[in-house]
Amino acid sequence: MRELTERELIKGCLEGERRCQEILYSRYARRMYAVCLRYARHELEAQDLMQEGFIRVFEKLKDFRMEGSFEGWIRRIMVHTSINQYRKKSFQQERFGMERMPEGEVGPEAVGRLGEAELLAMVSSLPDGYRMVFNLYAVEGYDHAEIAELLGCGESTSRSQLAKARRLLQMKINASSTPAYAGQAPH
Amino acid sequence: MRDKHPIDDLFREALRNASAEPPPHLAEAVIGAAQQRRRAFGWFRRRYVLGGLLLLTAGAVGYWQLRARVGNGDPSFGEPSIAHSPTPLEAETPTLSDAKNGEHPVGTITTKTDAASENGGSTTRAQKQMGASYPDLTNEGLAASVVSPNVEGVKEQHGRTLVEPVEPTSEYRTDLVVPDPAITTLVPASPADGVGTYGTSSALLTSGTVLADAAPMRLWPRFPSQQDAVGLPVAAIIHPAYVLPRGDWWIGAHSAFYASHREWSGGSGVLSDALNESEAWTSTIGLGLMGGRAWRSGFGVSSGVESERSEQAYRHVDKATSYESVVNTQMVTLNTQVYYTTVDTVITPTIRERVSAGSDTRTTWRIPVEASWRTRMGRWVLGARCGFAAEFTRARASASLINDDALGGISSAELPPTALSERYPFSMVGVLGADVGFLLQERWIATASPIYMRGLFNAASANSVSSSPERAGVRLQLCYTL
Repeated sequence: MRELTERELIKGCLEGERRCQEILYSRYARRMYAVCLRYARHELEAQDLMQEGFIRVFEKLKDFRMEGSFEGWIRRIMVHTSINQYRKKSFQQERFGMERMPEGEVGPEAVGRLGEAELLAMVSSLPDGYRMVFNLYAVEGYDHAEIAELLGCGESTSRSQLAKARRLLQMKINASSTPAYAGQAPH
Repeated sequence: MRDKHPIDDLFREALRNASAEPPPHLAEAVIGAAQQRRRAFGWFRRRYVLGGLLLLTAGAVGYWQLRARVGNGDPSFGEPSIAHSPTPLEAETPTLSDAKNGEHPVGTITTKTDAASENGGSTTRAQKQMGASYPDLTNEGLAASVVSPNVEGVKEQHGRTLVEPVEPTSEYRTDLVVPDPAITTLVPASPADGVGTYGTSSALLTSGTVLADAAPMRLWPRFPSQQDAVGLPVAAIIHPAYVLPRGDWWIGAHSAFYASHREWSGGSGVLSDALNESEAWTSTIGLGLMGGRAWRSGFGVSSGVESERSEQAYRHVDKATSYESVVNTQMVTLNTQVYYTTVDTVITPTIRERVSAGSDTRTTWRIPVEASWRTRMGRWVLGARCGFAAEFTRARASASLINDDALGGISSAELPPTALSERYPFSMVGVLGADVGFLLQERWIATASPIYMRGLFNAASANSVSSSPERAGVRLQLCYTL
């Protein structure tokens, strides 16, 4: 059967066709779920974000002007859904011991061995504020002024949280690489 | 300026286009929720369409009625018309002569006299027929309203328009008086004057009747229809009996827009508090039909039936916290001698969340009984109403809250229909409202009524958790007076 084009898919969804909604979901679900996992604390929250995000996608579909990337548009909705969720909740900032974390470089060996799932787990394990700022800055490409506006915080807060997120991730990467080198003889 | 960092690069490259397999049940949840919202909106649209069709149908019926009455020559609507002659007419087309000083322009209709007139009787055939058809008409009323068969012309005396009778002949002439604006002052035009909007000056004057001597005009005259008019002379038709009914029956269709929610009570209090927290105000639409009777004093009673359907978004987060404690013991020993001991207990709380989200659908049928009072200000109508309504609610819930110690207190679960119906028992609600109406036509009135309703009592037992409705909104009603 011929694969539906993006335009046909959108048109079908706008008419409320269940089949088109299923195709649209299955086409973008995997990538969007990864986005949700990056912003969520755990899988249940990611599923919640995913559900809310896709419902918003179906609701806002009439506003999509068929310009630019459709996937990028869906991704933006997912990110904004995550931000809204974050702003709704008052998370306790977890700052214990962050100031005393050592600075350091990411070892290239460690990077090579880390897979997507592990990196995703590392991001998910970050405290909420750090995770949001790191995702928005490092992965999505927002600058600090935009992040401050999105999250309703100051630019300095965004900068400091990014720095702390980086240090924490670096620690986690180093920690994950340590057992692999233990006991190995140099070549 | 963006600062570069190797950590950023690492994660961006790895995660920017990462993908992960979502759990399979999520697809059904997403598509189901999207379809449900669409259905809800579709139903919302259908309700608008249904309401619009109802109003259009009511408007069309009203228009048809109006046209039918105008077509019947009812003088209360539009231009007056000369009624049919009782006998085969050889009528000349009325010709209007130019107005002279102090006189009104007149036209002339010449008809053959009927038997009664030829016999010179004082009672015309028209009177006889009217007496037969309308027994409530008195001779005095007829004498005052029916013109003598022979009429020569119209003169003005003391500001009144008079018709002078002439000697009976084998033919009689009825002068057709063209309405004059000056004469219209003789006709009370305002309902406030104790006279209805019926009997326009032109209708009355066409018959050539002395208005001041006519039977007292009252509210709500009863006009004969075209069928009734066949066989009656001009004057008899145009001067109907004015009857004063004590009240009017009316029917109406309405759509109502409410903000509503339910207040939960009963049981131990813990569950009802949790249900109250998850309950939010939501907008609903009601459609209904009502009928009633309005008396001349302004008081009225009404009753009918109304259906209301609402969608209540539901979301509850079940939270459970578990604690894991680890005891770290440190000892400093030399040979067998313990020099130093520390014991640390590290407690790690883990919060687990379970999100239950869905949508409840509630369908309510209501039978209101209301008392009202209204007063007119020109074409505007102001009033107030109060009453009560019997309310039957049927709910279809995706999930609801229960208080189960085994599940850690308040948690969400799907309830069986019987348990769910116990939460929405039969209720009596109090109704308070105000009316602002506008008379579109003589019999049509559009009313906007701000309404407040609150549950007074329900049929649930005190031990079970139940809900009472509360809603505020506006009811838009289109009424037709029978």
